This record gives sequence, structure tokens and C-alpha cells, in this order.
Amino acid sequence: MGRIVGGFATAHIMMSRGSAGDKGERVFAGMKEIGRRIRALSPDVVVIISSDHLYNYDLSIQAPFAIATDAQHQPFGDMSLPTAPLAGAADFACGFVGFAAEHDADLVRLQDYRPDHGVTLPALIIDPDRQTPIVPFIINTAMDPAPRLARAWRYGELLAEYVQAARPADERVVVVGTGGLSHWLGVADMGRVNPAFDHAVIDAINSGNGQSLTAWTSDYVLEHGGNGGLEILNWVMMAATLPGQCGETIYYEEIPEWVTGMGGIALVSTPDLPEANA
Amino acid sequence: MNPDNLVNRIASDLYRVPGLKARFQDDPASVLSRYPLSEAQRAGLMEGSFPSLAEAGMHPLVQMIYSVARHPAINAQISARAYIDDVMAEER
Repeated sequence: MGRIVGGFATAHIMMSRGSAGDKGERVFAGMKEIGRRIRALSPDVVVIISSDHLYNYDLSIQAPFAIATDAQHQPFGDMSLPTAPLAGAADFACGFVGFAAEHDADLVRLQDYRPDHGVTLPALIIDPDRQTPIVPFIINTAMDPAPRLARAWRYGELLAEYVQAARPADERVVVVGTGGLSHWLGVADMGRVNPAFDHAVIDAINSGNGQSLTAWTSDYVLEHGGNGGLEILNWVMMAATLPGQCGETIYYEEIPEWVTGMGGIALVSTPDLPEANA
Repeated sequence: MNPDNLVNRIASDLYRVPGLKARFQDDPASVLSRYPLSEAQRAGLMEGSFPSLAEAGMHPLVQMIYSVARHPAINAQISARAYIDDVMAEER
């Protein structure tokens, strides 16, 4: 029986250094803190939940939920990110495809998937040496209608059930939901940030009530968080892997210069808190 | 080819057809001439601003990858490389 030892969420962009001043540096410091905390948990596998930014996907075939099953992932290199390969976890990822199928949840297998910034940026901050196996889990926020938040929650539950029921004893898994928070891309409100929406998401998850967000419709998210705000699907799926677990905010900044409300949070499984191990 | 998806398909092709993005950046009009676009769409894709791409019928998120191909200077604005280089240089 494996165990999910930590859940985290973080924005997955940064732009030209200096273009967001001190706010950008505080976000960077927060991302690095998340990386340090994840490394301290000594994970065997890190599942990184992201959207695909249409470098891999196109609109002709739409997969709502998918997982990259390769033993090694070759980053796409967008946002000028390095393209050296990232370690994968094929056994873990393939096993989850089968587990999901047995539980009537369709999960598309991605082969030769080239992670874009949504996966690569957090992966390199978590492990700059690229040695920790990662599993990209992709939720499609480009499709219309987007997957419902309740479905993301269900996939998070399934991931937790899979780790508990089907993974080797003592396997340590960290789950990271990436992207968000509010941002509007390629639409009239591009550049708008809605901190009220962002804090509502952060507060719900940090108080152990992430499931309450599944009451939001996609239309509500689009209105208050923008089309980029649909990436809270990734945060909600992460929260579902540690249901009821409270968390803390590592960073939050409104950054119109980066057209995004940028947030990062940490939920650590109770037995792995330092005080619980003292 | 579904005409409703044509402008989105062009953006995808730029990243999937070997050498096409480079040829597009060298001569965008020539590459676009191979697609059965309306004149209004062709003009919108040549301009490459977000409003013009939306007017041409391009999906909002597709606009992001197309605009990077059409205006390569955007790459410098959205580069996260300085941060990642910093992380990779840190002692662990």
C-alpha cells in the first residue's frame, strides 16, 4: 500500500525576469519553497496535474482526462524551458490507466507526450536534477464544455484509491495541481485578475473543504476566474487526493503583468508533518 | 478539413509539420496561401493580434501558440529561463 504524503498546488508560469518586479520574485521564492518541501518528503513519484497548452493537443480530438505513460518525458521547450528529459514513472502511470478503467473512469493514455510549461516548470523547480519520476496528468481546459469540477474531484479520489490499493508498500507519492488561478487568455478581459476568486479557491482547499468547489459550474468559473481559471480543475483533483486535509498558503500575488493571479499552497498528509513524527 | 477548425489547424500545423514554423516566420503570407482562408481571415492571421485572431475564429488558447509563432519576440517576454537557470545553479 502506497501513500500520498503531500499535496501541493502552484502556478506554472513565470515570465521574463524583472517584468513583475518584487511580486515576481516573491512568487519565485514561493515556488522554490514548494520545491524544497516536496524534496523533503522524499517522494518516489510526483504526479503533476496540468492542462495542455495545445502544443500537444489540438481541437480535432478532445481528451478530457489523460496521463503520460512514458518512462521518460521530453519537454516541449516552450517558455524557453530546457528540453533535457525528465524521468517518468511508466509502471505507476500505466497501472492507473488500468485501475481507472476497472472503476468505470476513462483515462486516455498519452505516449510520446512532450510536457509544456504546465508540467516542466514545476517539475524543474521540484527537482532540478530531473531524477524524481514524474507522471504528467492532463486535464483538458481547452474543450467546450470543460470537464466539470466534480469529475476532477472523482479522478483525485481514484488516484488516492489507486495509490492505497494497488501500489507497493511504502511508496511515497506527492500530487501537485498546477496552473491558475484567475486569468483570461485570448479574450476581451485578458489581463484581468480576480483576487476574490483566487482567495475563494485557496481558502476552500486550505480549510479542508476543497470538495465544496465542485458546486461551481464551468460557466461560473469562466465568469469569475476566466478561461485560464478553469485550471482550478487541477487544484481540485489534487485536493481530492487528501480529502479533509487542511493546508497553508505558500504564496499569492496578483500579477497583471503576467496576466495571472498566482498562488501556491501546501497540504501535507498528517503522518508526515514534522510534529506528528516527533 | 472542417472550415470551422481551419484557423486552429493552421496553428497546430506550425508546431507539428517539420520545418513549417521556420518557413512561416520567414514568409508567413506564403505559408498561409496554402490554406483556403477567407481574405478577412488571412488578413487577421497576418496581423496576428489577439482581437484579429479572435475575429478570424481562432480558439482563445490557440491564439497563444499562434501569436508566439507569428511574433517570435514574444518568446523573450514569456521566457521563464532566467528563473530556471537560477534554480538549477543552486546548491541542494
